[in-house]
Amino acid sequence: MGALKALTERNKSISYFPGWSEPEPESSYTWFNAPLDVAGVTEAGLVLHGGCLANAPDCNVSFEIAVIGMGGHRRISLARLCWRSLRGGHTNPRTHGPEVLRGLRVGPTHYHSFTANWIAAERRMRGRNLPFAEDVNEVLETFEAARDLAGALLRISNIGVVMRPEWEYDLFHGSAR
Amino acid sequence: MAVLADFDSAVESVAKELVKAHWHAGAHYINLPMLYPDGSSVTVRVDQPQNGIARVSDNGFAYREVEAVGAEASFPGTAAHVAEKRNVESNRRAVFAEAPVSQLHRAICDVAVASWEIVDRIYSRISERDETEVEQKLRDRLASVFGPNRLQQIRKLQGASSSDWDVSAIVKTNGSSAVFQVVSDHPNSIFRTATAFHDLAALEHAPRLIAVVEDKGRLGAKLGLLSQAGRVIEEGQRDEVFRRAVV
Repeated sequence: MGALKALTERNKSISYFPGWSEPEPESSYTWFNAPLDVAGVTEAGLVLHGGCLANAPDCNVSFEIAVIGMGGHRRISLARLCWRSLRGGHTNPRTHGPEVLRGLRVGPTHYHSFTANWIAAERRMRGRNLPFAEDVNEVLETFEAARDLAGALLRISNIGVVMRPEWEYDLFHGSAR
Repeated sequence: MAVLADFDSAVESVAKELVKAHWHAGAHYINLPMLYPDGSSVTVRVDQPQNGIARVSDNGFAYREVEAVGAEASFPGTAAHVAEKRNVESNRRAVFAEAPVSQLHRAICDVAVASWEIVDRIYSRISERDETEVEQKLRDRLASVFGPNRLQQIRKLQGASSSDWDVSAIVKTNGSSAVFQVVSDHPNSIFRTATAFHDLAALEHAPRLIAVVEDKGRLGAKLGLLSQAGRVIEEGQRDEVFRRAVV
């Protein structure tokens, strides 16, 4: 599992951007899994996952690096940036984890860093699905700004190949944001 | 007084944050004071009523939680079961209810609880699977610490109530035995172990009872439930700690 740390910390690039999926009819969720290269080698199971709701423009976007199918685990999330989450903010656990982050409430735009969710002494992830997050201080007004920050945080050099999703803008209702 | 005013203001601020409603692109999203495992709020989407009937849905948020740990195949079956119990409906990705506006409050509560419960059930099952893997590692460790001959093949004990309890490992000690039980931080695992330990502790010749956890800190107050009836150690501790636990 120590390989997870190395995969997260090394510089990466997107091997191939497959485009956003067709929105799921039940939820309007649209997503992509882009394989990632490390030093020119496409790493087994290492992906950049992006997701958002096609019917909720300019919000609720997540960029996450994850490993699929390593060591008997179906999927391990390594780090994630959430931009303007419709699920509101995020609340960290109170009883364990990094002391400075315990019990903190962060806003709808936040970052689940690898470091905050990694137990170095035991070389494994803390809990499941990245329970610790920190506020993002940068002002991210556009999808492109959020995407570029994700590239910097997740160490993905060519994040610009991720195209803007084909959001369904509703001119009648507009957007609250 | 200034401190009290600050505190009152902090409580007021938190209370406002507990439930939040926002409108986006033609739908309302309501964040409720329940948390999914990733720390995000259980959230429902409420669409504009059609002929007086509003649709309340978790919009696939529970599905996303279980997808994040690769357990999405469990969603439809678990969701159908929970939906029936909570009087809501489910499909491949979401739980939802359609209700007149006069019943909106209850519909939002029912959908939110169902959404949370689906994730909780699936994560609980994942914990059980993890326990099985950890149990095997623990048995290997115990064989190394105490010697393979002391590790018993039988892993079932009868308690004072005459209930049978499956345990992770039993080690023969000088004239007695020690029971090791792997415990995850999911409440079901903790409660089951506490019940088993109390029942086994009531035996005339009770074995040493040792709960093995990943991280005591993560159990919070529930650590007390385990330590009432047995000793608690962490799986990463030194061999010496395992030896002391059985004395």
